[in-house]
Amino acid sequence: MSRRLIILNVCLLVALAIGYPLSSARAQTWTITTIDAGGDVGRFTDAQLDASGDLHVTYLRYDNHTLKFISMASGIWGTPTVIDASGYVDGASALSVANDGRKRASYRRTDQGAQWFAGPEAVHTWTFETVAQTGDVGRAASVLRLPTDELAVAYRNETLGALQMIRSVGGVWDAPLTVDPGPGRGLHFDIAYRPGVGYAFSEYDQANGALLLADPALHSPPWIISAATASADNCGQQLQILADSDGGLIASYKNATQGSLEYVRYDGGAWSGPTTVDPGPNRGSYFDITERLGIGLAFSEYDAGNGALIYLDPVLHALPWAIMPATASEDDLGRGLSTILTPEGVLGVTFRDETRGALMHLRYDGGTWDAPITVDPGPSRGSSCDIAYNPVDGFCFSEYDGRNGAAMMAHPRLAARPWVASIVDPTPDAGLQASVSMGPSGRLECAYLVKGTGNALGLRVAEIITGSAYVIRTVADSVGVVGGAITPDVAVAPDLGWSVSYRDPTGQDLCLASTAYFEVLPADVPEEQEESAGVAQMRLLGAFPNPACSGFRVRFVSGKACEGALEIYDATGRRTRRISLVCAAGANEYIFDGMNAIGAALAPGVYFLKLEIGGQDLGSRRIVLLGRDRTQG
Amino acid sequence: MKTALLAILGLALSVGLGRAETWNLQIVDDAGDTGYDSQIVTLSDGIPYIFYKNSSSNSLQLAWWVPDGGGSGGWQFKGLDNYVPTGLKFEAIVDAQDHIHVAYARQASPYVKYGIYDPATQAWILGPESVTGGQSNMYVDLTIVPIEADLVPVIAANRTDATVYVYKRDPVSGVWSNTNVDPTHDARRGTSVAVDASHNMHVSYYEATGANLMYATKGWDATTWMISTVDVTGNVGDYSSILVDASDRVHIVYYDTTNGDLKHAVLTP
Repeated sequence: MSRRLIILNVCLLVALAIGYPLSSARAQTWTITTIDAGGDVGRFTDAQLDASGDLHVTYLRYDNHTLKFISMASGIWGTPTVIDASGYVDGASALSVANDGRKRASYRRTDQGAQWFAGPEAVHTWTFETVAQTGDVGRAASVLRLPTDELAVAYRNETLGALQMIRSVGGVWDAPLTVDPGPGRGLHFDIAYRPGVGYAFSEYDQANGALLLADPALHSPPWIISAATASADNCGQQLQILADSDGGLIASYKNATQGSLEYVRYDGGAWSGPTTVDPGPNRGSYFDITERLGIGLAFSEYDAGNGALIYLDPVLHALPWAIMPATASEDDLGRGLSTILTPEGVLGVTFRDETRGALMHLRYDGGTWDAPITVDPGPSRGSSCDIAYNPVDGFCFSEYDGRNGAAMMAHPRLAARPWVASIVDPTPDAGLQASVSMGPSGRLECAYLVKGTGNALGLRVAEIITGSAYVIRTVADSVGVVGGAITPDVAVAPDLGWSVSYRDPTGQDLCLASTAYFEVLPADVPEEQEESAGVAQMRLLGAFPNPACSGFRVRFVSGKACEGALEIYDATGRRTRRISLVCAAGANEYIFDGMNAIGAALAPGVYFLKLEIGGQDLGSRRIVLLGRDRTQG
Repeated sequence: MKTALLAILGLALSVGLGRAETWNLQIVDDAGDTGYDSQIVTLSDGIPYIFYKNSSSNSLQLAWWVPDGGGSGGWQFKGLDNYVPTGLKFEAIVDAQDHIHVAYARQASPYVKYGIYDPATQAWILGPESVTGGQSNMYVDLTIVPIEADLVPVIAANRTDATVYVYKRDPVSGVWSNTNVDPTHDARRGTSVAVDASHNMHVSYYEATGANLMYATKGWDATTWMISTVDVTGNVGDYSSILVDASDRVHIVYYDTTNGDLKHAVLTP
């Protein structure tokens, strides 16, 4: 700096100290740069500094009404980028630079006169696609969404009376396959996936009153259908199919002739059964099946003769099961039941008390039954009910308010325990055929039908997010008509997303609406950020990549050097691996090799990691393993 | 200037460079004619809060993100005040305690309000109180200055009589004082204010007669502003935003109306 400038600056400082006006005294020291000359740019600027002293600016390009952003790195201006190219941005924008360096912008768009946001946060969006349109298809459909995000839909072809399926891998749909050409098929069916084998189906043969099963190990596609039972009874009107942990298929069904609940099992080579679960009479109208790992199959069912809920469990009842009511109430209990098994091995059942019009809940931990709990005393409640669970919130429920025609939810975050059912969607005749699901991260979603104009049925989803906030999204305005025997189906890949099947009544097409979730934390978190965050707090940053082929990196920060543990659980809640950790203060990374406790590769699927550092639970994350074969692909 | 002050307070953590920005676009609120003149801040836990005006109801609205832990989430909303005109700038800043300081203009008396909002309780912990000397239809900009244990709000505003005023709140008495920054020029839009680590105040604004970018500065307790021109090439200086970094360099980002360009001026001490 020259002597002249030094003197000038001294004068400036003196002047500043005494508050003396110096017109234009410092003007010569300004350095002026044009940082964007692309179009009419620069109105409505908002500039922010980060802690490194670099500038970040949002501004309007007025001639095409786009929102732009430019950023400085180490004092050098970068290239302008467009945040919103819609052509509807107008007025002031604002920019926020967070402590972690992430940028967020708020602005207005004139096309909807709305407040908009741009940033790393995202709501998931629905994608809609017609997946089959040959014939009158989609009246009944069953959807599977695998942890690898592969989709499969089984559906009835009304024109042919056939059962068909279609599959999507990597977003590309295969050609439809006819599982059973019929006629007279597709009234009742279910689909299951056998890992390493393929898709299998159970179905009801209306003409012969028989349960049929199609399995790729029995029959390479196109499937040859065989009767799963040799019985002359009318079997299979109500049925469910389950791929068990030993790789077999369990098909449970109603024997309408005997009024009994039965099942057959196929182990990939031979059939066993049928096994009578409950000889009845008056059984099989409503039932649910689950597998208690290491224990066996368990069933919940409705006793139509006595109006009782019945639960059958190998711990309670040695095979063949001795039947006993799960409740001692004189009320008509158990219609519309739904069952869920928690990762901790607790069974939760929800059902309707027909006498009182109430929604009920039962819990069984493998030892004794808890007393029944009234979730919603009604009246006119409990139809179209479903149950969901996550370790954070416990059980929650969806139901239909028959008196007011509203979608209801009972959820700990919506109301204090004991549950008080809250109206989620007050639209008249909303909540028909509700289905609820809750992911380990706390996401809760309830899909239901709503009666719209005329007799049209729309499909909506209510999402409950952290806290008591919820949003309602319309998936489709018209998926059928009241009384039109429309049965939408919902499939959930935990924390991957939802898929909902429905029928386009105009084209008589099978349609699918799907969501995808977003990972907020990117894999390229700068080292500086991790180190700085580690000083301030302990935090589980995440697992990367996700989905992973086999192994993945777990990244976290620790406020101090200490010991900890990483635990890996499978989707059923079984712990597959526990790893002791020695953590440094600051950023840490552990590379998990994708092996279980005995050194075998974990099977493809959904897993959950749980991290504890220095006695502090840092929470859990979901991770999807795609399998080692894809590593080499 | 807000971020620089937070850095001075030791609040900002070091930031990684070269991060690719993620811009997921989404509607926050489309109820009525809304979204005017928004301000966005991010709390220390990464939760964004957006303040904006709804023209249909002439109200000041607040929306904040509620994450669900799975990478997604949604928005919650709260109405904060009425009689907030459309088209006037206001400002929001978050401090070390994750309290949000908000200054905004109104179309009914009191014309300018300042308040501190606590997201933890979703309630105001100060005000919003009247800023003495406010005038209808002002553009306001806000910064907060750490003075010992207090955070002192400083507001710069364009008044409708073509003057620029700076308002300062006494932390003990709560009384607002104000000074006319430039009584001689036709001071118009784009007023912005920043305060450096030595508590010198810096103001940028647009001088409409000469169509120039102007800069004014004074010491915290000084009585007179030093006025200077920053850029006089063509019609320049509208929509200015002024910041002071940790090295006391003064940055002004502004609009070049003549060329339709975005420009940056930096004053190195």
